Amino acid sequence: MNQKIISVPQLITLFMINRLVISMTFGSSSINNHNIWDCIISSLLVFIITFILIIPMMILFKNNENLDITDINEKILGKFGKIISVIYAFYFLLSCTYTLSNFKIFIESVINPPISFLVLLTSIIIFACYSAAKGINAIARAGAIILFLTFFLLIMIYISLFKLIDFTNFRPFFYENYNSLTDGIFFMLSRMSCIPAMGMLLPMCFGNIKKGIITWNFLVLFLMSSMIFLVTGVLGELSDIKLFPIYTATSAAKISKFENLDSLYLGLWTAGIFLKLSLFLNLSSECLRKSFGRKSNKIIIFLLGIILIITNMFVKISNIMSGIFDTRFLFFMTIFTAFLVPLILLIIKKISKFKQEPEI
Amino acid sequence: MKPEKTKLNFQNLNLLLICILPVIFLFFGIKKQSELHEKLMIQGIAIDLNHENNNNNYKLTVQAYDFKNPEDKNEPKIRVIESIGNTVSEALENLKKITGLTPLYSQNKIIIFSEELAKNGIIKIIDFFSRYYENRPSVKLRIAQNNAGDFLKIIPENNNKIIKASEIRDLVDEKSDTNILDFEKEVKTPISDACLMLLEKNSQNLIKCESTSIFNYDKLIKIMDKNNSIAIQILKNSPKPGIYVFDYNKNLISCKIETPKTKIKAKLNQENNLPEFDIFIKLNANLFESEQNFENIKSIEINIEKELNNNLKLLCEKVINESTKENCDLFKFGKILRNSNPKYFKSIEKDWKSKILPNIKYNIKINSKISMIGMNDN
Repeated sequence: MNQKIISVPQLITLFMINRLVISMTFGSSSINNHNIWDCIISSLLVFIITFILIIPMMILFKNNENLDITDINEKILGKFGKIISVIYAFYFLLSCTYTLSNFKIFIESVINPPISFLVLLTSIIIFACYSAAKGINAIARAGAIILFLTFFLLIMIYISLFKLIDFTNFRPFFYENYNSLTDGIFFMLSRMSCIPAMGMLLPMCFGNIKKGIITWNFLVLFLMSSMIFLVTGVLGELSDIKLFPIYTATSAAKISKFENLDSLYLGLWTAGIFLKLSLFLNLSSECLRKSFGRKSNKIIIFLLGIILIITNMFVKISNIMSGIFDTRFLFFMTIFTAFLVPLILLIIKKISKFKQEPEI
Repeated sequence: MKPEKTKLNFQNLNLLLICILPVIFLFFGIKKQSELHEKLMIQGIAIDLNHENNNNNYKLTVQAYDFKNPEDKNEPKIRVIESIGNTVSEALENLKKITGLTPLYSQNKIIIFSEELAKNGIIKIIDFFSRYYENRPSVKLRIAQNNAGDFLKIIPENNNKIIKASEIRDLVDEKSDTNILDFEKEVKTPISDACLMLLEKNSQNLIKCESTSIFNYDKLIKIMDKNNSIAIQILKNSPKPGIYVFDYNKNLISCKIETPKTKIKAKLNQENNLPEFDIFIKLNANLFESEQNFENIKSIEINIEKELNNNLKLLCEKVINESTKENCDLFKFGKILRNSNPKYFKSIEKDWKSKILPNIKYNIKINSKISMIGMNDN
């Protein structure tokens, strides 16, 4: 049983910041070096697909309002459900590792600061672990502050970039081929970690959830498509060869006497990473706690933190789009945790209900 | 009796973190950081080809602030340092060996290439500055007539202070200027080209920056004079193309051209299957100076507008002709055609710059609005 501790706006805040972290690193390297402009259509299709993917999770939640996905797993699948919950924990941890790997690439190839990445990594994970240990409510409150700053900084970045748009940079859609469309859909869906997170967070949430999810999906569509629009408009074909095109675009932008807006990008992204890590460490630890029947998740959080530090020390830049970070693998994991597991649980429940019904 | 197990109490995590945090930050403090006076704050970089001793390497001239040896209490000393290397990065690395100071590139204002170097191609160097993490993509680019390094050493006759790199940068209006990112955007797109402003100096050691050097891919191919540069700026929609002086009935009239709005539309001529472009230009011209009385000018304003339109039209035609003849697409005709007729453009994309561009047809319509600041409109 879960207590209702966060409101729907807080939930949207957490998901929006989580999505922002992904959107800000979007570039052609994410989609096999195809044209990112076509991905504006991908984002529109992902908007529709997301609604379809959420349906099983929403029905499951409607039937078991106070239970999260791990509780339902155990209730319906018994001991096997615990294994599924461990897979959820792995998925949330994988999402953290992927985010930190992107951060590593950014730090090592773009910023190159005088301090080592290990120090940065350790500091950010310590803070994220602390925040995760404080619980979802504390993370949600931190999210509200970060979202306020995000909103302000994003407006500044958008205004500055809007002035630099050259409309000749917008190529006709699918000028080269349709690969960018499919790659864009795969990329965006494979990073849609918010839907599995809903399985854990919806039971803790009070308010009009349906309305909240629709708003969130619209905001994600706006965020993704506006970023693609701005980057293409400002950089044109150059966006196809830059590792972090949004960062490159902001580095040349200025508003009045304010320049070097890339520092805003950096601040925004780091704050987002911190929040995402906190949330997903908390969710991962909750899944493991329930699977292993422990009372507290705090030791698990710090163990997961150590795992994150160790794994990210060994991640190589060349491996960021292969192995466990391969879009196909991440896509499978996301679809499995977001759609397949809830769907299978629903079907099993329906069958067992049908069997229990007495014959007339 | 068994000793009581001590359990790690996470309630005291706040206290733990409060203790750990200062320790982490102390680590930043004990790390050796170079002080400001140990750094060479780069303000401008000029790059020439070095032919000394039959070498074909790069000669870098750098203007930098030296905080170690300040000129007076208020101002750091401006140093000009020369360095040679087989590559630009090697030459930059040599700066440290020459000065003993760590170069800091994030404050750099301008990169100047010599005409000779630009004719050989500059994409390798641009690529280095674009990817080098310390350099900012908003750094402005210039081409220098003859030797680039000389422009960072100029001391005007009437003043004993060296002309700062920031002053050279400010010779061009910021919104009309080209930075690393702008140049890279055009050059790395196979169907468009870039242009950069040209630095020239006169016999009194005064710098002017009015001409434009145009590029085919990364190679300088032609230099356009001041009036042609104004036409280029108009066609490229730069907000402040500059002051244009023209002759009207043997009277010199000087007007400041502002906020041109250039729209280019592409269409396909069905007869010869070649693209045609309609170019509509709307601009404001502030009349500042005339040999005639301004009251007389007011009565013939429409005629002056017509004359200005004709002159600018001829200039624009000349600029388009000369650039397209050199297979150089400065005004994004290729992109406009691609966006309006993708199917056709795909079929000619490979031949666009070499075969199609030099043969395009275009019609220019200019609609200028003359205004006289400080004069009654009636």
